[in-house]
Amino acid sequence: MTMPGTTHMPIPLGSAFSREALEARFRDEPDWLKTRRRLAWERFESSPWPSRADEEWRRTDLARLDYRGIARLGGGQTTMDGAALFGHAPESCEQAGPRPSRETKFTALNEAFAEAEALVHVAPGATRLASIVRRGGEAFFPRTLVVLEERSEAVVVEVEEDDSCRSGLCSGLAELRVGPGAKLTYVRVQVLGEGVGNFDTIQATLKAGSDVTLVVANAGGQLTKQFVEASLVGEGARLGLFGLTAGARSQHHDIQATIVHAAPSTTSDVLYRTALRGRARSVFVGTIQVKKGASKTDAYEASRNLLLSKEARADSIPRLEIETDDVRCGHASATGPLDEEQLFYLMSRGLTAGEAENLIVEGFFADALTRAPGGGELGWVPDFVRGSLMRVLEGRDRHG
Amino acid sequence: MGETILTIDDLHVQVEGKPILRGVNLEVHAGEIHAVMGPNGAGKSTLVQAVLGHPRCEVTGGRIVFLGTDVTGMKCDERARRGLFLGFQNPVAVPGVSVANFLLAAMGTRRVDGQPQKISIKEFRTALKEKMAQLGIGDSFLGRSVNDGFSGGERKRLEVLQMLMLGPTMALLDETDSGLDIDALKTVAGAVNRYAGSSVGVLLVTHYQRLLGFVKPHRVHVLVDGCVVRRGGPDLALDLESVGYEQLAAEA
Repeated sequence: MTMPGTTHMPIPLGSAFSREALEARFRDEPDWLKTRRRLAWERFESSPWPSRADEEWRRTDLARLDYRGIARLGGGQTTMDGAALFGHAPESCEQAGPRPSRETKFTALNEAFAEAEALVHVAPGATRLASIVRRGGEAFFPRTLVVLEERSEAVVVEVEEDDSCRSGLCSGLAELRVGPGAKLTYVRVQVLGEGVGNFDTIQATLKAGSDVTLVVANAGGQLTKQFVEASLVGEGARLGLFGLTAGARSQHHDIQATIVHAAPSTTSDVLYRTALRGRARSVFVGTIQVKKGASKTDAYEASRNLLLSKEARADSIPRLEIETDDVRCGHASATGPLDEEQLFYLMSRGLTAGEAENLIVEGFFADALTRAPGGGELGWVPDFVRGSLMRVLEGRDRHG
Repeated sequence: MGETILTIDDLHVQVEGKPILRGVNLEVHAGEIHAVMGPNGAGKSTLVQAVLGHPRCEVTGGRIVFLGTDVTGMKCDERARRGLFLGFQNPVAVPGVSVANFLLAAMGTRRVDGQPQKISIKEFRTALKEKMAQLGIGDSFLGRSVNDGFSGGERKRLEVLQMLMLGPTMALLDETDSGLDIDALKTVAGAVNRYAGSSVGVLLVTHYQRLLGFVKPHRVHVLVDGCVVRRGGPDLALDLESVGYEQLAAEA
């Protein structure tokens, strides 16, 4: 039993969220997959909505969401290059498909209704460049599994977009399994529509000597609750996590990054940049866990928030949970408005207040943005990320 | 005497409610180099920042006329686009914005007779290379973030580079000489001398005579406690060396 006021009220759901709708929609799929969906649906139904008593949901209010108007679940469009569609052979069932480290109501719903699951499997020593572009319907469930075998290398770019301004739902799960000595750069760009509630999990497992760079940009959606989890389970694994968040209007971004150092001599570098305008709100909780035995861990976490309006609010909450001696862990965070001296300096060269502000904001994102791969076939990526963020933040001329 | 470029007319300025300038008059004509000297806290930086329209500087009386137009109420960027330039004493760092991108953005704001001046990337590069060579600035400068981690000398050179690129009608240089070693000082002074021609005005703010050994001002104004207490020719700067500001102020 939960006490009144301590839980979120369930999000009102329409008839599209039903076992009948699920069965009708996926009637023609193989039995094993239908079974998987049905079991996931049952777990969705029986599991509780996130409670405000849970620390990690404390700052995000689901009460504003109402999904009674959603007539159909699924039905987005996914374009893939260098990735395969998963789900048509039962023998692949066991290994393929991402598995959440902790199931929630949203990951269960994702498994029940997932379409166009993407699989990027890179053989030992091979290299791969993959892009996955998902354009959502009113409710969609991105699911991605990236598996890098030993000493393979890959760059995977995944975009979630949707033009709709209606109330919508996106519930995604991406799992990255990075084998020994493998090297992965994974870029996620979220540019969902203005009315979308986005519940997302990105989780990575890093084996010995692997090297992973995650660039995670959030620009769209009305409400985003994103879990980014990385477990460094092999000795010498290295992780760089670079987050870029832009918010305007009444957008709400709640991002929870958890880095687990579970092996010796592992390194993590977390850098988050958030710029907000309007009445936008962001929460960043960055947790670094150093498990017993993970000696010589080197972990650093920094977050900076730039507030472009008086009404915007950003909270950065660093957490260090260290169970081992002989580690180096640090964190830094800063929140502030636009620097008036920078603004005056640029305006004294003829830039309007708006142009000056845009340049400062682009500069603010630059150090995290330079971690996105560019050049050659990926030349579009940094510009696309920058453009996605700046579109949210532009459009004001301060004094005019 | 050339055309009047800048007229500062009985200018009163407050900063955070505190009166800093108390009726400053100054006129710069085309072809002239002026020097404003004075002790720390006299209001020299406030004067040049007020001319550019720093929001911190509240004009409580008087006016600033640039090329025949009263610019007192104009925003800073509008003044800049009309051809006013300030070389900052302590230019701020703008992390993540490269010098090249910044200069290109600034060049894109130039107006001639109110019309945007388009410049091709090629023309921009050619002009930039030439000016950088004049100032002894290496190519690696361009990829660095504006003033971020720059030495004092590098900051000042970047200020002068911007002046040369933007080609303002009136350049106010706030202690551009400080933080420079003697070679850099000669380089910067040479650039200022070449820049100061028959059609532009230059106003140097300094409290040392050092720069004036290399750049010869036509007029020297001594600012003490928010008022011009003495004006004269280049010799005045030399007199200051022996007399000192306090005595000048007392005599005034």
